[in-house]
Amino acid sequence: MNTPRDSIDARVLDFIATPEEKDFGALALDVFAHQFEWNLPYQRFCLARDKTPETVRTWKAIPAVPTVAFKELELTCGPPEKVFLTSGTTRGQEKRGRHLVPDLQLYHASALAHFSQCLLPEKRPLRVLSLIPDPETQPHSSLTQMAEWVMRDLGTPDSRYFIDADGVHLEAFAAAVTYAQETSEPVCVLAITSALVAFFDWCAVNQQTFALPSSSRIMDTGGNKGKGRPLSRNGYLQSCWKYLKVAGYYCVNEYGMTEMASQFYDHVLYNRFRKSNEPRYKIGPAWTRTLVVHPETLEEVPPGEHGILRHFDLANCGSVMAIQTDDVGYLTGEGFEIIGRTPGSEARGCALVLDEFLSAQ
Amino acid sequence: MPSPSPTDLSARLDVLLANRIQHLVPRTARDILGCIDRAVQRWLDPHSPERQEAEARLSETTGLSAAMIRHVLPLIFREYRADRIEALCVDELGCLEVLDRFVPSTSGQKCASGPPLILHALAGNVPGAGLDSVIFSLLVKSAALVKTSSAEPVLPVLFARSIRDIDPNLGACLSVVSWPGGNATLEDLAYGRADMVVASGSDASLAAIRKRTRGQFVGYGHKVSFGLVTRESLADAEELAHKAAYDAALYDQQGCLSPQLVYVEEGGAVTPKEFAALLATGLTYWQTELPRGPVPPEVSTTIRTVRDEAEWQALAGKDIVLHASPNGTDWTVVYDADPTFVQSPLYRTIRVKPLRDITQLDGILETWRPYLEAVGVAAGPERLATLTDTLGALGVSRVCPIGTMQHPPLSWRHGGRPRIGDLVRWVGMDG
Repeated sequence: MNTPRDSIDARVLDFIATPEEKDFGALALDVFAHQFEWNLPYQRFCLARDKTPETVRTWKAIPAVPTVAFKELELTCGPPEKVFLTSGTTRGQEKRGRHLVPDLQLYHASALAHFSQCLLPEKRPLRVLSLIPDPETQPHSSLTQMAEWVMRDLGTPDSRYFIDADGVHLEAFAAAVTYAQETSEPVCVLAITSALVAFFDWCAVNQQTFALPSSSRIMDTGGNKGKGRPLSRNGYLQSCWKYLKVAGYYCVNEYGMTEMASQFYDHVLYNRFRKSNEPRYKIGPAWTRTLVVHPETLEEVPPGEHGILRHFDLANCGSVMAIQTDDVGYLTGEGFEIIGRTPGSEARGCALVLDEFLSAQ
Repeated sequence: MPSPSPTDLSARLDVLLANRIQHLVPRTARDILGCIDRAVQRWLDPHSPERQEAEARLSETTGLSAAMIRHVLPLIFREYRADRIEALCVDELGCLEVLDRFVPSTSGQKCASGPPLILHALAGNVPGAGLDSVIFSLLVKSAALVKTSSAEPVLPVLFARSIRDIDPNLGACLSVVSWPGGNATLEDLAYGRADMVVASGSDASLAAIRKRTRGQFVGYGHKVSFGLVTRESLADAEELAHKAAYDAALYDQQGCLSPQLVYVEEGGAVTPKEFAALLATGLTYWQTELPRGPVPPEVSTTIRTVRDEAEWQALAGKDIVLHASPNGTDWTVVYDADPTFVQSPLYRTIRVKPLRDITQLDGILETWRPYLEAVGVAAGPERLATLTDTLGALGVSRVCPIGTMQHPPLSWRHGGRPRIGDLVRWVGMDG
């Protein structure tokens, strides 16, 4: 017998598979009703605001849960198939957020569909070189889970990790880059930004530069948080060119969070593929929406104006769809740009995991 | 105010030193005090041009509401009247005349004088902070160079103008400048030439200034203050909460004397949790009377995080209650059963925490010892003395009634140090 969860999950999966001409708002309200019914802490949170499926008439009015909530309560609509943990902070002592995911299928479908659109629009498998820690090292990392799926389902069989329990293997990565160079087979590099910056530093020290075959691409994530060497976005892009000969339009920054099944990417590579000249900004998949709200009033601000980002993600059907972040950004074009985290709020993300490796070496 | 060039600044210091010899050293302290008092009287007159101008301009530079500026200006200046300053002199130096000539001491005669040039580096977290030191330096016949903070460049300039209007010669011994932090040339020049530097700011900025200072250094670092309500005083809980709310509301909680949280002892007429609700009522009242000013976006986000954490911890079953202003982040009260001392993001964000007994404070505040400044206390007379001893041993430099935290008497020894006494050097003559 189909449970209510199966049926709402099936509708979201169907949306992800064929988003064309689907009604985001209508499904969002149904997902909200589902979460209101099954996610009881969330229901209490909504009731405290007098928000119920009867009173909420538009997806924008769906109560958004702050990320700190994931540290306090199990925000899920059912028993989890997998639990992802936030990576903690530089200060180390804080509780880690827990994202309980009842149905990994949704996560898988959403993550791969949008990755594919933004990193592999040609739909051709590439060898993946991962400077993201392997699953053995980071069993609870959502980023690692995504890298694992990308390598298994979108990469070639010789894809591999260069970060494991022993640390970051920059020389092995350099060897894999050299191999790609020699065989002229383009690769897809997945990297925590600070790992790649560590590689650039390694190149500088060893006086080496490489030239990845044309059509090679780099996805980086996490920015330059924590203890790593700070590098501006422009400096990063220049280094990608200087040390790997990968041009800016093949350098795609990912922005994601443990609490969300869907991710956002620079759409530069996708634009190149569809021959658009739009400037770089982040886009989410069709089953997400992002609002920018004023930090003081939490009211929506117009496009271009700075505020904090609030995401709505149908692929989060099994936990909480509406997430209030501390990330500062603004709406532009079809997407948004992120400026940074609010100073004073804790730095989060996988980059910190890596920093521990780097500082331990 | 534009930054001076190094040549201009150097020339200005020369002029200040020359004016001191000519106009300050020959005068009596009482004469100087009279001039200062006339300037202060103007600031106490709501219709004076300087009050009008300050009220018009300070709201924008400080971020405090216009109502708040109107409210605090007289409170700042009433402490600078001649009788208060003279009382402080008597307290710290014995008499005012000791600044002019030798007076009898227990072992002969003594005389006190300030150094030629004192540089005052103001922090600017609240308007008027540090102005007292500027006044004291004129009194001890030291020329004063005032470096304002970029956050509050207005009030020192207007006050210096009042002095100049009343007595151009005295005004010529006081100069107000400003430059963006990190200008090494100007800082080396100014801190290198001053005989004494009196500075307020973060530990890091004080360390940076101290490194450049050639002469004596008096630093007022960042501090934290809190409220303490004992069980026997909770009969008047409503009024106490109203006063505690006033302490938190004044200067939008930006002062080192602003309470960051309130400890409430259990076993009184109301519970600490009920006291938190009363504090919220108080803050609602003060939001109407003295509205909070606008806050930077990152502060809004940090306050929201405090609220979100409290709300979700409460949903998770912890003994926490959130009271929050309906609009924006105007005020926030969090009752939290965990007595650990935590800092507030300020701007009227305050936690209420229960104590089984005030003897718990020793353990709780141990790590905060170097940073404790003032405690606003409500306690019965029989416990007040022991309580003050306990708090003093923890490093607290001021114990005062709740409701008066933000406006200490001039005689309070800020940071536990003498105010005028720190500026002077003594000469004794054996008798």
